[in-house]
Amino acid sequence: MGTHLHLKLHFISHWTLVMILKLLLTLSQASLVIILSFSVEAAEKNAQFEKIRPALFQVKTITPGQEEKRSYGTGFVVGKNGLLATNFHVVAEHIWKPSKYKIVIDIQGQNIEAKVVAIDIVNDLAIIQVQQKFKTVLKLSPSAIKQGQSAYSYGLPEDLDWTVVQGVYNGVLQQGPYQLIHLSSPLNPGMSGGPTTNTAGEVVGINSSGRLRSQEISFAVPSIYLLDLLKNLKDGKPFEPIKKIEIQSQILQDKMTKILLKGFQNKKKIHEIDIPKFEKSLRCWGNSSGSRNENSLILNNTDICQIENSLFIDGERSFGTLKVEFRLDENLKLNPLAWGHYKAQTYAKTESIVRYFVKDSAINFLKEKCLRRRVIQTYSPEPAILGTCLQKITPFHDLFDAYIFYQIPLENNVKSLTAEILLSGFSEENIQKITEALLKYSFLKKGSE
Amino acid sequence: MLKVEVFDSKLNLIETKIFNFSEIFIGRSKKSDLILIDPAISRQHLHLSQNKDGTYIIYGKNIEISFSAYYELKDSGYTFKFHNLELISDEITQETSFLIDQSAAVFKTILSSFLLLIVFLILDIYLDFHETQLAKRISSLLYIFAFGFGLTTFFSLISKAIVHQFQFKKFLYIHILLIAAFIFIYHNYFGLRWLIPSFGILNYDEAFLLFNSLIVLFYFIKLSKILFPQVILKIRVSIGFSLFILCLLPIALKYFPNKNGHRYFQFTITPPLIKFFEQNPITTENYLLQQKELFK
Repeated sequence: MGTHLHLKLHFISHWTLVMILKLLLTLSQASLVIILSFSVEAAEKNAQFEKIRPALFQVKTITPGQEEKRSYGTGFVVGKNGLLATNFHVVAEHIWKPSKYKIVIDIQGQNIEAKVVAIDIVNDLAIIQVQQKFKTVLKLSPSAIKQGQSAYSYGLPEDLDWTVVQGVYNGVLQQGPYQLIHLSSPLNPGMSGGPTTNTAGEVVGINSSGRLRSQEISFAVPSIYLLDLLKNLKDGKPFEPIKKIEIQSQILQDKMTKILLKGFQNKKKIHEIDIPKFEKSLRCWGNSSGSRNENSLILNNTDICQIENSLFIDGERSFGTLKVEFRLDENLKLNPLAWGHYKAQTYAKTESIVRYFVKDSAINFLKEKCLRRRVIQTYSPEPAILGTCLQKITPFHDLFDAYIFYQIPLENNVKSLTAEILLSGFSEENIQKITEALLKYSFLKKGSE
Repeated sequence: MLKVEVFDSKLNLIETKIFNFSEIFIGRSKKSDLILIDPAISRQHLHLSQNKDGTYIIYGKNIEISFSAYYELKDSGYTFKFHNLELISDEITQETSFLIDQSAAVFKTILSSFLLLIVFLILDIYLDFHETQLAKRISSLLYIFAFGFGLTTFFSLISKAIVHQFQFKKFLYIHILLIAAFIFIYHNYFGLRWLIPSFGILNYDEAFLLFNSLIVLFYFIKLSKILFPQVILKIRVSIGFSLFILCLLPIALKYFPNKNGHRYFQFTITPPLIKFFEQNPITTENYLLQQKELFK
């Protein structure tokens, strides 16, 4: 029995040993393959960086008489005759104040002056030209890469040194009327305008922005828009930046107006009350406060929809801001006077200067440019309160910032629905259309009062 | 020996004391022989010294009076009655004297807060011209000034209260609370500004101005009682109300447009809410037409 056991143990240990050895061999083979593949990939990446690096330059804004930069970004060569692509926001200061700010590119430590030859504010793109011939030109790829594949972004983050950042391509996002490539990679300030390439070293996007409060959420402009811009450049039309911005703003606001008007044809509910339903390109958030069980005075439900990426115009303002807020208040315990006072807080805004903060910049509406009236509505026995505040945007001919608010008492004044719409960079025609849509929208089915 | 009787403004006897020594100090200081805890009384308010002939001399900031048997002194809202028990004669000579009030010096913090309120009122007016650069600069300067004043006043009052072991009159605590409430509501901390009642007649700025004016009125009536006790109540109240009306002037001015048809104060361009509700509601088409005019 003892010998048998010994033999069995011996057999087992022998077999185990063989298995362990086999496993070790397989593991070492696998790790060798992994190490080899990594080193091959690293070598490929290195070769790719070496290939791309001569086409990358720092784009700087300087003030006359100064050599040091005031702001900077990255640019890359898209044409042998001195054409470089970058972001519009990198050169925006020069566009607005050409005599005060110059654009230069850093070629081997020398500042070479560049001129802006084309812009696309919607897609945050600019093409600049220098009197210099380049040997290396980056190839632009119009086709998108597959979600989950690697993408490499190049640039000078925080003015350190040329950097390549590996990220994951996560498809194209529709943000209102814009399209952006969603990258899971850490893009930092200074990399704006740099290229994002696929594994073959072809440019698929132009680094644009990152979310400050998020982890590794970055955006790039699809290179197809850069190809369009380059194509139009070859048409040889004279470049007038302000006119171009006006035309583009018009196209942009028309698109956004369509999104809004389409939303007014659809319905969703907040506590049995109909409100417009916008498409997914507007990001919506809902919230509520107060409860019948907690002895609250008021029940409050809000629904806010907005475009999160507005158009960069300059450091102080942006276009394309669109925010639509619906608030349904229900009076539980307030006396009529206090309830009236609570509701008045919204429309009293037009009595003082209405100030709206959009990101870091504020829009101030003057009281002279505010209108407030009581308006008869067919679906409510009590009139609604409607207000509009406007502000003309200089130097454009027909672009306004607008604040529209609308408050209607519902269900025998027990409930109150307040709508607030904030628009930035819209024309008179579109503001009128949006107001009309709001006025025609029935928040209650006819006869349900 | 000297008997001192102290009466308050309503002539209620609040203190009586007999001293058998020649140097007597009356004041707010704890070293005083007769302590009167009131911010209107200075630390060493009165000093009485007995002469060799038995008469006394009263030394104050603006007074140096000698008396033999009896003297009555009205000062800072109090009435002091001094009886020289050593020289009592059948013929009591009643000498009464009004002193120039010194409480302005003692009340300098309260006066400064009064100034603060005026600064806030000016600030209110300037805020309404906020769209012009100059007004922005002026109002930001006023903000700094008013904030500095507010903070200093608040802390000096608290420190005074601590030094005097919280033995002040109610008035001071009301004063501290009012300033704190004023600053808090003004800056809309915790969204408290809506607490100011508008009752649908006044807009928020107007209601706030009214609130300011009421505080000014309150302070004026309270302060004038101490500062000008000899002035009769009717005059004090009427001056206070004139000041109150003056503070409300910006609201009144809105009904008088200037040559260009603009109102003097920007925040008063739109009529009060009550007028808004008196208007007949319009149709949606009319609103769109009116909105179209706004673009011009």
